[in-house]
Amino acid sequence: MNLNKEIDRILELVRLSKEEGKKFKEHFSRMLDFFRKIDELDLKDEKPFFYLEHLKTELRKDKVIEFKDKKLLYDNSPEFKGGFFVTESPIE
Amino acid sequence: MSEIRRIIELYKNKEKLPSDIVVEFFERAKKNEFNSFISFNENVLEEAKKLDKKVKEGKIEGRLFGIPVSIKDNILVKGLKCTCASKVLENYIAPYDATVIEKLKEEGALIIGKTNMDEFAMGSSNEYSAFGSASNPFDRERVPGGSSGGSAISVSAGEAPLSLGSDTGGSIRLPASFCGVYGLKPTYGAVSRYGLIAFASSLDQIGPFARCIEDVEILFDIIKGKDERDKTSTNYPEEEIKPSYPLKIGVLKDSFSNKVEEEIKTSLEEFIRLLEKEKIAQFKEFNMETFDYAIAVYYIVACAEASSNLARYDGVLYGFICKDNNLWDMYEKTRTEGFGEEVKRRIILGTFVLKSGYYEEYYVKAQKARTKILKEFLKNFEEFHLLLMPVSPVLPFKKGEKLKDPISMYLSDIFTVSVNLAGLPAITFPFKLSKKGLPIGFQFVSKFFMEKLFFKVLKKIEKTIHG
Repeated sequence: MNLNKEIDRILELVRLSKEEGKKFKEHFSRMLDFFRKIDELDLKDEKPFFYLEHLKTELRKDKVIEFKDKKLLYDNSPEFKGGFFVTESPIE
Repeated sequence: MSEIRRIIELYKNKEKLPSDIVVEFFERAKKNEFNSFISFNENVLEEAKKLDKKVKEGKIEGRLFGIPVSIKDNILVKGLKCTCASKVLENYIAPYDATVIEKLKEEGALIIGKTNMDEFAMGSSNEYSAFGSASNPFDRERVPGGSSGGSAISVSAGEAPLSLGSDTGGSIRLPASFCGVYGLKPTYGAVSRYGLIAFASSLDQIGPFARCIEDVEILFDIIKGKDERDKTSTNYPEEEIKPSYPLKIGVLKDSFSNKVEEEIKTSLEEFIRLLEKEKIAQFKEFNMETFDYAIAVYYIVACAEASSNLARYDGVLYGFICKDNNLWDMYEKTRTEGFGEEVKRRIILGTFVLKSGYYEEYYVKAQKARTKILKEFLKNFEEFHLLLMPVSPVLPFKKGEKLKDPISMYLSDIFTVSVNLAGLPAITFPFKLSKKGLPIGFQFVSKFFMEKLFFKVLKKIEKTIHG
């Protein structure tokens, strides 16, 4: 699929308004061109960066800790009923 | 002079009480002249009154006893709103304290309010806030820099003596420079990110703002250290650092390129001459092959991480909801109406660069380039103790000037993003005012965990400049 069509497809999937989509498409294409700059760098001997050496991740014990302010958590939910977060039905 | 020391002296001499100091700062902050605050801690006076009793009893405990602090609105303070300057979180109340906030409270700090920022910390001008843009205290027509614009303003305009912000690609250093204050981006892993609302987790770091280097040092010393709740945090080395002067400092060659405003270049030359004359440092230019590519690398990596981190805002567990007929329409409308333009742009870009077929082409290449950037920095540290460069190629710009062209806005970060990609520490310090009265600041970059070197050198420089 060519890049232009791909961008159109993505903008269709994110369901932006026509006007917003037009503006995004212009920015999006310019940015992808801008990202292409990296091709000028010689990266053949480089490995992808994953973590910094000084950060050694140690496994921690799987310990259950009770969160005391559950009400504060639930109060942030748009709708919370009988111990459940309420949403629209996923089934039509 | 250190604001922390000044205020604590007032308490020790029983000249003022914490409630007097809080009222002083809080009243100024509440006027919100520069739109630097999104919300306030309405209980702060009550909290200060509890400390009044301790002052009367002579019990001044904690390094930040009775010191007002403002906090960027992406760091959780229990019981206070935490909006990330986004409609999607406009009524979100933090259910717990971030680790840095716990540490501040343990030292007696008083949180006065939450500061304005670019939505989800995505921006360089503070114009992408759902609560309106903030203004530069030196010229209200101009931006304060972003994304931690409100934090920088609050310190610069005397609304708070100290502030905490976050830096993902320059979000502490750029506003600190634009508002004429100090701003530290610590080594990645030096400060816990627990309770910081994530933008790009491999780049985000919390750091302090202050008006003098001594206060930056105190605040950093309090917030640093390993935290079990953030596995990317680490023990901070406690060794003393004894710099031997003159230091060898590398100046980035691109600091003098035609992309940089003339007045910034001449001020940098002036700064170099001053340090050489005082035998604080010897300077030599250094080059970074990756310099011109860092913005592209940064926006690929940061947007990719943001697209994943921001997937949680769907209107179910918390925040803004836009109800509709079915779940999918509800998700769609909530995110379409809840997020601002820049956030949507970055989520879409991030999703695209991670997409099968483009992942190798964009994301993997960017991660390889990131390795190259780190190697280049480390090679330069074989020769230099510190690296020096401007914070931004431009002085604080006019509001609206860069909004129509996202790439030109992104390029304001050209001197800051490499540091985040490499995980290194960097500090912005104010040097002088431009002919138009706008602050000009520079930044030092060092090896991992060399923040103490910044503090020692900048104390010496502060003394040289201000006596």
